[in-house]
Formats: sequence, C-alpha cells, structure tokens
Amino acid sequence: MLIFNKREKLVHELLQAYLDLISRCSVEFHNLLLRYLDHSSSENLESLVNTIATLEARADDQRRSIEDMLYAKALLPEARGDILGLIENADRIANKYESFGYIAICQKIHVYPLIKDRTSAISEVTKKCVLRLMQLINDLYFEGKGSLDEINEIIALESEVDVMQFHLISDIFSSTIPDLQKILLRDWINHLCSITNLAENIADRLKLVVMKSTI
Amino acid sequence: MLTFVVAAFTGWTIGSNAAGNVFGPAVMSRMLRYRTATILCSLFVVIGAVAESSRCIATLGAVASQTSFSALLILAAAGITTLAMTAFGIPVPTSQAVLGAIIAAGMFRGDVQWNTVPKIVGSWIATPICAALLAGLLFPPLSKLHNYLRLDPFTRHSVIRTLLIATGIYGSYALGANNAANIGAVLVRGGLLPEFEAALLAGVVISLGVLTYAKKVMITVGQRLVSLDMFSAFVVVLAESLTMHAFAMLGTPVSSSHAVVGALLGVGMFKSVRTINARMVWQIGLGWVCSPAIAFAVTTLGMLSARWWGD
Repeated sequence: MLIFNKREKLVHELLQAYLDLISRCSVEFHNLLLRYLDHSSSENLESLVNTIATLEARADDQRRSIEDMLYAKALLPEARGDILGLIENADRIANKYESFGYIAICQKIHVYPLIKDRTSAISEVTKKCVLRLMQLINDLYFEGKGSLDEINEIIALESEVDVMQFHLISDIFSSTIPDLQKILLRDWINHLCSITNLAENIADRLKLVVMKSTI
Repeated sequence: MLTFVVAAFTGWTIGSNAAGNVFGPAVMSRMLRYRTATILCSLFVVIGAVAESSRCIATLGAVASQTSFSALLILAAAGITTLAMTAFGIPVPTSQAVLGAIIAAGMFRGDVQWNTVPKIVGSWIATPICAALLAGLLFPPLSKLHNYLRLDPFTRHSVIRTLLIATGIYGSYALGANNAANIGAVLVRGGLLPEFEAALLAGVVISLGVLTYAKKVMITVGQRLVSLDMFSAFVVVLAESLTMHAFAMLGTPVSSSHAVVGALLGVGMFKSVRTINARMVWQIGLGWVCSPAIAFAVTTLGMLSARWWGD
C-alpha cells in the first residue's frame, strides 16, 4: 500500500469493516432463519430480527461515515462513484435481511412443510452468493484481484435462486395451503429472493470496475 | 521602471495561462488543492527559469539587438497581443508574440538575424507534433505496465496522484526553463539586467501569474484532461512536460498550450477517442499566425510613433 493519506486510509478501513458487517448479516440471518424454520417460534424470529437489526444499524453508521468521507472530503475521485454505488446496494441487502424478519413477525408467516427445506435451500444459496460477493469486492478493492469469471459466478448463483423461487412459488400455488397464506408466502419468498437480485446489481457494477481498471 | 512593470504584466499573463497545463488534472480531480498546486508550480517555475532558461534566452536574444525602449515596446506588444487573443478565447502562445515583436523592432534597426528565425518558427510547428509522438510512444508501454501491476483502486489512486503531482512539478520546471526567456531575453538584450537576474525576475513574475490568476485556465484545461481518465491525463502532462523541457534544452521557447493539444492527440490515437477537435487545430493555426502578426503590428506602430515624436 503506497502513500495513502490519513483520510483515504480511513475510508479503506471503513469499507473493509462495512463488508465484514454485511457478510456477518448474511451468516447470522441464515443461521437464525434455519432455527426459525425448524421450530417456527416467534422467539427465534424476534432474535433473528434483533440480531440483524443491530448489524444493519452498525452497517448504516459505517455507510454514512464512508459517504461523508467521500463526499465532504472529495476523496478517490475516480473510484468514488463506484464505491458509493456498491455500498448503497449492499445497504439494501442488509435492509432486505432485516425486513424479511419483520414481515414474518407482522404477517405471522406460518412455516409449512412444503416450504421449510426449500426456503432453507434458497437462504443457503443466497448466503453463498452474498459472501462470495463481499469476498470479490474485498479482492478487487484491497488486493487488486478479481476477474469477470468470478463476477459471473455471482450472476450464476442469482439465476439458481431464480429457478428455485419459480418452482417453489408454483408448488405453493398448486398446494392446499389457504389462498391468503399462499399470497403471503409468495411475497415472503420473493422478498428473500430479491437479495440475490441486489447482489447481481452489485456484480454488474463490479464488472465496470474491472473493465475500468485496465487501460 | 516602466519596462519592469510591463515585463511583470507579460510574465503574469504567461503564468496565469500556463499553470493549468501542468497542474490542471491534479487540481480538477481534487487530488491536490489549488493553493498547494500554485505554490508548487510557482516554486518550480522559478527554479526552472534560474537553472535552465539560459539557452532559450540566448536563442531569442540572438534574433535582434535591443535598446531599453525597444525592450519596453516588445514586452508591451506581447502583453497586448496576449490580452487581445484571450479576449477572443484563443490560447495564447506568448513566445510567438515576443518573436513577432522582436522581429518588428529589429527590422527598424535593420539588424534581424534571419538565420535564427527558422529554428524558432520550426519549433512552434514541431511542438504539437513532438508532444503527440511522445504521448503516442509513452502511452502503450505505460498502460501495459499499469495493466500488468493490477493495482487495487486505492493503491492506483495513490500512485496516479503521486505521478500527477510529480509530472506537475516537472512540467512547472520545464515551463520556467522554457518560457522565462520570453521576458528574460528582451531584458538581457535591452541591457536592462544580466542573464541570471533576468531569468530570476522572469521566473518570479511568471510565478505571480500562477499564484494570483491561474484558477480559470486551470479549471478549463483540467476539465478537458480529466474527462479522459487520470492515467491518460498523466501521460498527456508527462509528454507535454518532456516536450517543453526538450525544447528548453534545444534553446527554443515554445507554447505549453500547443504541447498539451499535441499530447492529447497522441493519447487519443491510442485510446481510439477524439481528444481534439477542428476548433483546437484552428486555434493552434491562428496562434502561429495571429500571435506574431499582432505583436509585429503593435511594435511597428510603437516604433513609428516613437520616430514621429522624435522627429
């Protein structure tokens, strides 16, 4: 690392901490969701929401600090737009994790056997996708590594979730679950699956970062 | 005293116009504060003027002998030409105005050394061509090295900022070494100052222009350069600085604005983008013709008026 000035070094550290928080959000969310799917207790759900809300609030603080540094101090002119775009979309990922729990609490989402394993499978792929994405951002921004092939892996994981989402929702509507519950479940599943869509948006932005890094 | 005031004004216009060509990208990309850039630029302009402007002073001074009056007239004509062309929004090649004025004053006394003129005029035409070639030669290996290193955006930013500041400093030195002769040569040949003092004074007055009125041009030039990308802007400033320094070593004062346009063209060819337009080429042509012509006319008028008043 060459002659960074203090403020750039601080942005560097804040961004690394921010990526760690989003990764932790993803891991905690998946673990807590598995527990909830297994036991379907509101206690587990509240624990999920509280844990994710705490992480999300910390991530928000980090994001604001990064934005303040980049805008107010006008740092990293060439990379500023990309970094702000990345953290803005990554913030939406944390928000989605948080609101997913709130929806389950408010709408009293019941875990039917039909959705249990498949929701857990979607969450597993989502976690993999988000963790891979955070690793890729880390590689690109702090190691100077990362290729278009690796970015395409994120896009492939998003497509995998899309397929799982389609089949699960089709099966929900073919089942004997009450109609109102079907609609609630569809929205809940869609909400979960939208996380990988956000990851894909970030991956698209990373493609531009990789392309811009070569002259 | 009046000659020194006019010399200060002409030097001031050089400084206010040329600083943007060396520090524009670093300032416009906010990699360097405007105030810091002007301080660095003015410091190295003085160092360049004192250390290496003697060859250019000798070349320009050899065109014709001067009196203290003709020195005043030449510097005033160069200043007026600069003002007139700036009013029309044309980049001002002061060295070309100075040559036009020197020739006019020399023709009145019939002592123009015409054999020195082609070297100077040839260098005007060669400036954008050399800058384009240099930029074209530098861009491929440097971009290959850049791509090979695969720096992360944070490190890349630090490296490019360092390079832009370093080339800005080098460009300022080259500017002083090259353009100080526009003032210094006239003062030396007019018998007003010895060479070292003339170079120092020229460097100082150019620096004053940099310190007090460089912002506008710095923004204009900087915006044009950073619209490429930081790396390309660095190559443009490097090619421009090398060109200016090379001509300083050869002893011919040239225009930094013309060197920038040439370097932009050179980088644009490799990036397959149109970095210059017909207007910029037209302005260079106008600079070659109008700048010495206006200065020639103003000096001639001044000499005629002086003769008339004398009679």
